[in-house]
Amino acid sequence: MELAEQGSVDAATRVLGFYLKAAWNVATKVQPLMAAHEDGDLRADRPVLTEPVLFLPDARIACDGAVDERLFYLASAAHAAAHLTWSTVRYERGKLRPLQVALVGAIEDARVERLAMQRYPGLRHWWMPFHQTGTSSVKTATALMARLSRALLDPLYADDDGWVKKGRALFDRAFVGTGGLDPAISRELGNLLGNDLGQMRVQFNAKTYAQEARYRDDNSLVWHAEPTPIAPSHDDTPAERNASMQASRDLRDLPADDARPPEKVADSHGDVQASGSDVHDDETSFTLVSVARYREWDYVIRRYRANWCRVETLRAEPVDARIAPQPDDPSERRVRALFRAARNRVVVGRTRAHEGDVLDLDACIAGRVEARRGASDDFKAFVARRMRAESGPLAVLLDMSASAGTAGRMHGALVSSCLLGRALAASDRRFALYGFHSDGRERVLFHLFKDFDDAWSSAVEQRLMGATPGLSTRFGAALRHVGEQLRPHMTTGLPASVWVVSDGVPYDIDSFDPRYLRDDMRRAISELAQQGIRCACLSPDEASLDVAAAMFGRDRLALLNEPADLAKALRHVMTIAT
Amino acid sequence: MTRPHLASATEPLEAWRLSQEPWYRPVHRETEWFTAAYRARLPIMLKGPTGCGKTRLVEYMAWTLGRPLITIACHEDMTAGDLVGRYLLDGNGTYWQDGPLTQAVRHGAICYLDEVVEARTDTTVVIHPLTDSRRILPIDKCGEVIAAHPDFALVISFNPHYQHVSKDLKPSTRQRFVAIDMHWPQAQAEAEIVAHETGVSRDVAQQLVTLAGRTRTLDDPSLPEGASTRMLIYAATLIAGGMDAPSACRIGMIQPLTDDTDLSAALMAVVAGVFG
Repeated sequence: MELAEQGSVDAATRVLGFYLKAAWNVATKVQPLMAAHEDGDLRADRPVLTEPVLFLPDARIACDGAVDERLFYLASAAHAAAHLTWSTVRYERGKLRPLQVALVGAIEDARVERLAMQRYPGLRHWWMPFHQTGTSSVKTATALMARLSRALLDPLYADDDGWVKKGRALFDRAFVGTGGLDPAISRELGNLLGNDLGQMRVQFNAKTYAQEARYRDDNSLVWHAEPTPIAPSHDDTPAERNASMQASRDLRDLPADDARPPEKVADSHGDVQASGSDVHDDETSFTLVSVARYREWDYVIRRYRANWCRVETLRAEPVDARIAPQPDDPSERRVRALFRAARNRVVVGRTRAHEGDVLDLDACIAGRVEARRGASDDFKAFVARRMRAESGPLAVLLDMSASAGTAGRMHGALVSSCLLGRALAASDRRFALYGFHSDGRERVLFHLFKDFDDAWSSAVEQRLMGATPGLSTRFGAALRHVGEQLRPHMTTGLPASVWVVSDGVPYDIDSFDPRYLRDDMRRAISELAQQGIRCACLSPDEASLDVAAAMFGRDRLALLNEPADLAKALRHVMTIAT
Repeated sequence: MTRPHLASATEPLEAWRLSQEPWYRPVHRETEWFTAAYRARLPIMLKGPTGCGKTRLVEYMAWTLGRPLITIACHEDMTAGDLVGRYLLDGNGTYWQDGPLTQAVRHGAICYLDEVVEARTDTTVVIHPLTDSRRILPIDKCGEVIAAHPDFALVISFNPHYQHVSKDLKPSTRQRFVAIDMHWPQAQAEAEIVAHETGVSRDVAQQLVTLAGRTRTLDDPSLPEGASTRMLIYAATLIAGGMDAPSACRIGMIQPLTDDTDLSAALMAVVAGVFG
């Protein structure tokens, strides 16, 4: 019962995600709940449960240090899982008064918790510390309801209040009668006990009411009516930081247009020049390293167009643009472990040995001569192979187009690339890290973040984290250029790899037929495959997975939603594309 | 693997006979299928997750069928010479030493290649002539062709859940075997096995099986395979020896299963829920 790190929800989300999946077979995501406003009009000290996401407040805010933070997260997750497993119907509010609504929720909480404890008896120890209101409390509605909740959870708790005793007896009888599986008992008992409480004339303030047990969510899940929106929508995106990104039109605002791929952000020609100049006039300065031209496949004429695309290779100066991930990030450790496990062993030489499969005839003759002479010698008559971990060269190609920056995805891609670079550097694998975007066929910009001969350094990280999205995605030329970079390093006979961090959808401003660039990209991937270079794609965009799968193949494609998923995504593509 | 110093001239494989009957609880019809395949002298492939009882089944069947059992744990550095034999040197020159497979073929043992996919594919092809109607073992190094003893049988095992790009059986090898697919036992049977092997109470065994079930349903790349019955037996052994259940689960199951600290923390939370 421990989390990897104490404190913030962020540190706990991955553990809780695993817990929900392992213990409850629930795929609900766990995300931090936004902090409360200082003016107090937005309360964010309670978990909020929706089917796809469990929002958890920071335990330091929710518990004020009264309870172990780790316990709070686990208790909240287990309670949410119990709801998701057994709260199978949504209640209609109907004519229920607020007091009855609150009671129905509390009794439903008790019902699902009792069922959960039948499966996992240890959960009682997680939940009980949050139920402290006892018989010495003042008899307000809130206190009586807290005492009832405690009585329903803890069989050893004794309470002499008539209403609490009645509630406990009714609940126990109803629970035994239905095996606890009928959600209607919560509605029925809440209604009944709420009436009793109303007749007792105790004070109840619906606006300030909250259950004492802070791990319990606001029960918005169990009611049909929409809850007060106190949590951020899980698909809300943070404000975009990049100027060229802001200038770009978001695709969600674009009308449907069959002529251009709907999932891409497409700048008009005028916009491209503006954002293109943004790309170069940004705080980053570039050195032009080389210029090359590549052919491009035209599916209409079924021919290559020779020297069709001009690729400029640029190297940026390091800038302090964004903060690189912390060293020794858990995601980085996972990726490093993955690379360690995936090393290939190749024969690098032969040496003499005392035993083995292959006799060394010269050594045998020499040994016999020595034996006849009566000389004792260290007789090694066999040849043994020496093995060494070896892998083919690898190029990571980062899509820096404007569409790669939609919904704040660019930062995630940069962090993932940075973690990947560190892990690769630690694994002694020969690799390079490139980025690209394009502004028509005459201006494909290819950025060198780390070449094969460069060492991984903080300057490389700064250069990488300073990358800004803009322009378009001419994949074919970029992939052919990567192939050219890889070829001199393919000396071991092992296949080389290209890992593309992109949604995998090509687009450029001078091509209005989506099929044109897609066919060229597919052609380029196939050319690389013929040269022994395998391409794989780590896509941050779930919506365009089908297009990317058509380009790279489904086995060579993995979804990379966030940097924490990097190891998972790599594990998928590495079995094929290493 | 060979025990030449123990070999007698009349019963060369006496040292490979099991000295007592292994305990085995059939979970399906695997013993019946194994017996039928052995009677027809068909090579047998056992497929199943790690620690589900493949090796124990082979031991039990060797005892039941009254045959010596030569077990070879395959690994990626294993060569054909490790299986078939090789010339060795002494002060007077070279002499031929049978490998374990050759011994089994000559003298009629059950030869069990455990985790055969761990061996390189060029190594495993030496078994091909033994696994079709020829039932012979050609040894090119000494120019000998050995016809298999009538009681010889070949059994291989592998774990199909452990997939690696370079670790799979070639179709030409796979299709020479009858395959018995094994799985983890049903919860009740597994609890019975754990309780029998370790002496823990049925309740504790049941709790361990519940925990294992949770790890097996966790469909996540961080945990390619869930806890095995063997792991449960390890944890139960520690509990029977006086260790508290969470610690036993931690060192017997969770830590061997994963190096991912988040995942092991989550699984320890499941342990806390199960054992209270």
